[in-house]
Amino acid sequence: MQWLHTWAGLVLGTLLFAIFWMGTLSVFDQELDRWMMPETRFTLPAHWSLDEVVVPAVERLAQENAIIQWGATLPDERRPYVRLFYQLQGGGFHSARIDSRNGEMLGDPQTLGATGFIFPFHYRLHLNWLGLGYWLVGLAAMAMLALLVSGVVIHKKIFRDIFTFRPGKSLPRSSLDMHNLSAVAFLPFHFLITLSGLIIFIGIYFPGAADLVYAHQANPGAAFFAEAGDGFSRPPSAEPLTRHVPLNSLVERAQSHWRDDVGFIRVFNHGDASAVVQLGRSVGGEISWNIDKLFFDAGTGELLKESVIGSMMTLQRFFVGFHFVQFEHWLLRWLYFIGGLAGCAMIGTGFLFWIQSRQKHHLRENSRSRVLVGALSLGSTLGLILATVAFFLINRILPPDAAFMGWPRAELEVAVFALVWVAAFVHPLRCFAAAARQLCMAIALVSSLSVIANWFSTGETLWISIDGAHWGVAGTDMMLLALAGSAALAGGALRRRALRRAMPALP
Amino acid sequence: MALRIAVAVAGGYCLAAAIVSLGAYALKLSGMARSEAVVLSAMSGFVVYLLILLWGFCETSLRRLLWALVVLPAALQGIVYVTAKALAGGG
Repeated sequence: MQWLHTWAGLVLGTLLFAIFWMGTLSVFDQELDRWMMPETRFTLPAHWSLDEVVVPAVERLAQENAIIQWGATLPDERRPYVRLFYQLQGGGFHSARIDSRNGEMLGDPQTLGATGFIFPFHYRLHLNWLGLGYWLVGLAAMAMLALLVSGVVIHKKIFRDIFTFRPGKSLPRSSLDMHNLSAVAFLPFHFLITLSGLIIFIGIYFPGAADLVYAHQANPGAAFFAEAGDGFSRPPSAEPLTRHVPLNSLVERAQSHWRDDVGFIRVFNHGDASAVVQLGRSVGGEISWNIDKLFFDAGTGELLKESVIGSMMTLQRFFVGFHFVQFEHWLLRWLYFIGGLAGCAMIGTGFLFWIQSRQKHHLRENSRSRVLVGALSLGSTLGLILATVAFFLINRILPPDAAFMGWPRAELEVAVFALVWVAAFVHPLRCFAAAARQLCMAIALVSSLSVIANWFSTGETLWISIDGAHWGVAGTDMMLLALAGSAALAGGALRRRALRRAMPALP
Repeated sequence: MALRIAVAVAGGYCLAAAIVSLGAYALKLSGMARSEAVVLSAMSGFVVYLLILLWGFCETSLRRLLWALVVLPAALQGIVYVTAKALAGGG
């Protein structure tokens, strides 16, 4: 099992670190979005309603083009605007954001933000060709499970490892201690978060089950999901809808039925006499990512159907909710964040140990391969962190409506991320000795510049954020400063060690 | 070594996927609701695949490895394919 642990870890380390890092940031995706989209930094009004805010906005859109269905994720404390999607006659899907204070459209965000870039990166790496990203992430996740099991097997003193850290010892020893400590202490979390991440995509990773059981249907996968989610649909009648039941009254009925909030609304056959209003229960109240739905007749308000979810599907939704951590619990959200960072530390120190334990061996044999592996590990760990903070910095520097060679602003941000990441792989190839130190210093510099750029571009200093209870913005600023501080400390320590090593050579 | 890894990863997946498909069908036949059978079988599939992977990396006999992770998955996937064809044809 030793060789499995070493080689699978090395080959998939880059992928695993990227997945863990992006997943860790995704715990706070809404907070990062507030930071990256200043127009959404407002507090959800105490009283707002579907009929006053969302319905007029949809009607305005429907006057321009016929809408056949629309849906909206309702705002909450973390995301104060309404996320709307609508489908036009003829098929095209569109999305928009509605200000919950006045029903105005918020316009193009001009950035993918954390929910549009960092979160999808976590599960599909933005490699959409043939679903390649999903399969690479799935492979890495299976490797992670195999690594966790084989890691436990090769440890003879697993309990002592939790309490062992010898920072003063020579580097391979102390980085192995750190690797073991972060791995063993967070083992249950890392195992379950990886397994639940796989279970989210049962339909992608094991499509064969539905294909066989639903083989008699024309589209087995879709038939399975329709049945498992217990949906409802009826064809349009081609008669116009003459009377509308107020959506607010339906929401109130759903709230008293569930004793919980409504999180999602969807209207099928919009404007047609057979229009259906689907209300979805909020996912903020419990761990499970429920898919409870109520279906009402849009004209009469008659309850058409209540979805009933089977126990296995409920278990699957529990795993999904456990992974997404969208329920309201700030302490747990921070613990997820810490668990994710521990995962990054485990993968990073695993890399470090591999390089250091082979340093002498490789120096003797072939220093080029050592530089290659070294550049790979530096680029995939520190380089990715640098690319991420560069993504934040460019978000606050680029002016609105910026475009370059036909690329809109949102894509320029991604281009900067990609360029910086590639550069962080190439740079260590050229000057390996100093690269780790320089990457640390660059991370410190770019993170602190991001905070300053946020202050200048929005006029919102840390004190104003805290004063206005913009916790997402204030938290992002503070975490960026903490990252800058720790990167500077690490860079300083590396510099001192390089100097100490150089000393004896001086006359 | 490379062959072993390829066999364990790819062959192991084919075996796990076949077990998931046939398992879901067996659960359905045993009276479980169709969608529930699919969900339970697919969720268990990740653990099945993990066990196959760990066994595949530890098995020293290449012969046994090829039998279990090439021939067996091919045969089981064949059964899945034929069953699905028959079900689709039978309406």
